[in-house]
Amino acid sequence: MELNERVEQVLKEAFPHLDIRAEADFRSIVTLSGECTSWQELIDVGHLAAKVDGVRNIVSRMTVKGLEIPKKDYSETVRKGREIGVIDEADVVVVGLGITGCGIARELAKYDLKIIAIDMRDDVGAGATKANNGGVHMAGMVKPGTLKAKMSVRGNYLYDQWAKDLNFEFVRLGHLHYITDINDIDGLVEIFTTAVKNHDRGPQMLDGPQTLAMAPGIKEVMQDDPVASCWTPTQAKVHPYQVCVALAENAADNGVRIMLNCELGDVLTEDGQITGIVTEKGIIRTKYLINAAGLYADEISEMAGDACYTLHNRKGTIAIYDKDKPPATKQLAMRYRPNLKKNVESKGGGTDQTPSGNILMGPSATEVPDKEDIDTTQEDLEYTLNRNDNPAITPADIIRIYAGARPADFKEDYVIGMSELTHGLINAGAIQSPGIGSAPGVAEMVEGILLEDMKQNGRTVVRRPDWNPIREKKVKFAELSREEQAALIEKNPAYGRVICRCETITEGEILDAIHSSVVPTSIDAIKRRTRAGMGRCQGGFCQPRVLEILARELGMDWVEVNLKGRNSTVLKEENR
Amino acid sequence: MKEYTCIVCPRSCRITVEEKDGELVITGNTCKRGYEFAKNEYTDPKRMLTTTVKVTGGVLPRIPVISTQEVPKDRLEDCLKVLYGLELKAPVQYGEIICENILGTGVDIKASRTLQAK
Amino acid sequence: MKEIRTDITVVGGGPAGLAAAVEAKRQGAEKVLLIERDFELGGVLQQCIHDGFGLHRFKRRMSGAEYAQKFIDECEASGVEVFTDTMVLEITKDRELYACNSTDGMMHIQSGAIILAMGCRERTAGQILLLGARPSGVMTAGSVQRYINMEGYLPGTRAVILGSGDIGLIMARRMTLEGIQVEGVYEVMPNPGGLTRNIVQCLEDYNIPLHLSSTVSFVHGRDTLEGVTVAKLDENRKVIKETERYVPCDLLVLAVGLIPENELSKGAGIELDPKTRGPVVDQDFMTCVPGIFAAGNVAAVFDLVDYVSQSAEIAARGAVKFIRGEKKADAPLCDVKLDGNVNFVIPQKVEASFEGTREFFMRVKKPDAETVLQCTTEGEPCGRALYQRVAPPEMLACEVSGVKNGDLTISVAPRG
Repeated sequence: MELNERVEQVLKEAFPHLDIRAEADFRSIVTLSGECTSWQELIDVGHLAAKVDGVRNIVSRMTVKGLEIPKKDYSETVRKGREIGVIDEADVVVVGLGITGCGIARELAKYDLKIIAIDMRDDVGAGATKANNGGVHMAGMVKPGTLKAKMSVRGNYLYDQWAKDLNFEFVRLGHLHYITDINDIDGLVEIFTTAVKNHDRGPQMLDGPQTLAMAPGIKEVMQDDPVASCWTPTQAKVHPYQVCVALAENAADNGVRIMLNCELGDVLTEDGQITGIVTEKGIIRTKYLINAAGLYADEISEMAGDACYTLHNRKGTIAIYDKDKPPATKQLAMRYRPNLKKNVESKGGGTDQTPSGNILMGPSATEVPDKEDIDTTQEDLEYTLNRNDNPAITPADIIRIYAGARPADFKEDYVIGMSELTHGLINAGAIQSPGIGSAPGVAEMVEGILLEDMKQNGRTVVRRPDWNPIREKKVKFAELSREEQAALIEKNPAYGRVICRCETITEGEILDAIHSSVVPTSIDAIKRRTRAGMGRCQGGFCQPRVLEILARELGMDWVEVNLKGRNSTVLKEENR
Repeated sequence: MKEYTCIVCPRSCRITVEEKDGELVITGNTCKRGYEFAKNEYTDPKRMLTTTVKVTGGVLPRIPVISTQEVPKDRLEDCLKVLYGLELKAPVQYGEIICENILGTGVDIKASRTLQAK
Repeated sequence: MKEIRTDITVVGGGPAGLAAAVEAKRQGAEKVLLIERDFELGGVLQQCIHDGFGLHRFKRRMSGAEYAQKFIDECEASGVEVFTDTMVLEITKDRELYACNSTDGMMHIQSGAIILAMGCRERTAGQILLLGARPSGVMTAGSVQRYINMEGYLPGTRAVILGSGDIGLIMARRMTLEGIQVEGVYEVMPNPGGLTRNIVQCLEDYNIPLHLSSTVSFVHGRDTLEGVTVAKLDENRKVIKETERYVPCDLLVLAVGLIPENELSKGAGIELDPKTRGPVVDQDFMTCVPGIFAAGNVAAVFDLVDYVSQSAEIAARGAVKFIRGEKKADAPLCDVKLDGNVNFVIPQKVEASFEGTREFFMRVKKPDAETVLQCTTEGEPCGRALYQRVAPPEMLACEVSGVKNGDLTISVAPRG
């Protein structure tokens, strides 16, 4: 039986009420069409089809009865871009400046290539990157043999160097999955064997006393009696947006042209070769397009003539707790919950923590049809709050709730590689969890693919002698000793003016962020770089001051300063 | 007939005022002060006026002002329009009269703080 | 690092800090230092341009800014040393402070006594678990008030207000006067949170509807606020789905409560009362750390600024006694006992040897009419006040004298 027939048969058995047609191309990319009764059903159909033996990936043309699936309209962007005409030419264009795109741009900056990196939002890392649990994950939860597993392990390994060169906060705290009922031991063993199969470094099974010796807080705070645990020391934590900014700044310092508020509207090709892109800021000529456009990577691949996957937004809701209630353990300790693991593609996260010492709960995992939907809902919030293992915290300790997007395809694996249909298009798509940790691995892989292709096409690429891998450490006033703080203020009085009282962020740090190679223009962009406004008062006191500094330094009027993204001004007009 | 919530004391009586044959009939009050309150609200309601006025050259771009007495309620909006049209120069001293006898109401508007020059 | 020694250091230059500093001077303290993080003194009063302040103390209707000005002038005249634009970073249990600013750099301040007067902050969207999107245009009432009344900018054109506490009501009127259309005020509780006077003069005067047992159940708008879903709540405060209604707006004002700012207090090891969320204090408003006092909203959220000033003056007198060695660091303390309709009292404790007269402040658990506030010591009355009506938003104050052996019981109960 042909692949498409097998897929249709499997779907008919599982969803007898639906009429889903499948077409397969020479690469075993299967395109599904037909009408489903709900969004979740469409997702289930796609997932099931992707599991059929031989299917490489799924493109969905399916519809949902009574639901208009939101679709991005690029026509205005294309019109604007074409009107402006060609504005620049590059060897490589990277589209999407999340952690994946920034990582790629930063690594490629080593070479004598002209690189332009664009993003539709007003800041780097402002899409999927900004809202997740910041895990640089151990490899006990990722399916062996997948590209995801390979990238995750490699990325995790490379993170030490990234952290050293780029000076972002990086805490390798290790993960302790523990159980309180010995009957759940199989689950732990599975984590352990998965980690071993993935060549994770140093996983260990521990008994109850060993577990408590390592993490007494499990008993003292979480009031659990662990009988066994799986210790995976490679688990680490970052602030993902911080990593992203560091990568982007280093890329820019090494000559990458970064263009923000620059949406891509179309991809230009000739005879199966990339020739350029149309953006809202004009046309850019290029032979290589690296597609790291997060949730929109599938659409961009299709614009380039290669529809080879479909992305769906798996939304995750997260709650952040006041630092006042510190995490129970130094390690990331989570009670293994066997009932959460069955029949779901992603179970989401649990009682977690940030490098700044806030407890973080979640994320949840809910499929939504709108790629821009990061609304928090009652159901998702309840799910997230129910994941709490720590009786010392209550919802009253929460200072912020938010949701983020995961760009998932139906194969639930990464799509990284040179397109077989359009030469010059390199996909780095479907990078979802563990995407933060995978970023260095993905960057390295894409770098290899590009260089190899350039070599085969007779382009010799050499390393730039002046490439500087170091992005200097930024001042973090709150972490200094009183003497160091005193010396710093003496050198530069701006460090003596505390703007954000909750996180103790000074004007000097905000000025450092503004006068950097990737200029933040919104209040949230300042927040992600400096933590001003991230504390318990959530900017209640410091927002007017941050706004004032931004307006002053960037020569804007107060009513022009955005909170986040375009058209999100904090103030509308002057008083009467 | 008009109904008022008395704000003289926390009891918050609902007081009604009716005009019958040119006479005011006030009911629902439980004290004399409530009676007076309702009568005033019916015949000549007044309110304190507070807003801000534009200032140039000061540490802040606006200065708060307050009326020296209550202003007839139906004149508030007109008074505000006058004040929104003003532009002061810092420094301004607390108590300084910003607008004398505003719109002939007999009420002055004064600065309710001191605002230093930048 | 600059080394500074003071008799008394006051942290925070709002109404509490100003009153404390002035009173400390009046009581004869020599070197009194007042530290304020904003560029000027006055704290939140500078953005409270409306009248209604000082009724108890000055027997007239003043605006918040006027009330502050009175104290600022006194403060300047009395020789209090003031540091503005200065942030206190840390307070130790040994009465040392670290503070910094741009001109003096880092300062190490050793004090005979410290008065905490940091005030409070507002509850935010995150703390009330507001659902939906997180666009611009969702702001706390205090932030809106600052933007409009001090910075001179309007953050919206059509507003919905969540919370009917006094700040929410005041802002409803203020925004209306500035030309912002206020669609309505939504209150989760079945009773309004603010004073009747404000309901009448801020809402009824301008025909702004007040929706009780209602909330904002969802926020819409990706980057900027487009509207909110509002809904009625059932008796368990759950949203009644059928009552949900979409209201277009570009400003959602949150007036959903205040929290005393006690991060510095916690750092100094000061014990907090889970009810007031402020330090547990004795009759002089001294915390459990000897020589560190708490005044005003840092101790408990007060409804009237007059009470804030009063509590600060008590604390200042206590602090002066402390530096003179007239107040013991380790006097045995007794809990003030509560009875009837009393939710909390501040001060929570009295010294066993306490003599003289002091003011106590309390809030009731539920509204009631024709009540009596009764203070007793060893079965004898030692303070009493009558109220026609009591309600949780309105604080009660009572003078207490003649407490014997630290035995003080305060009760609020129906008369007769």
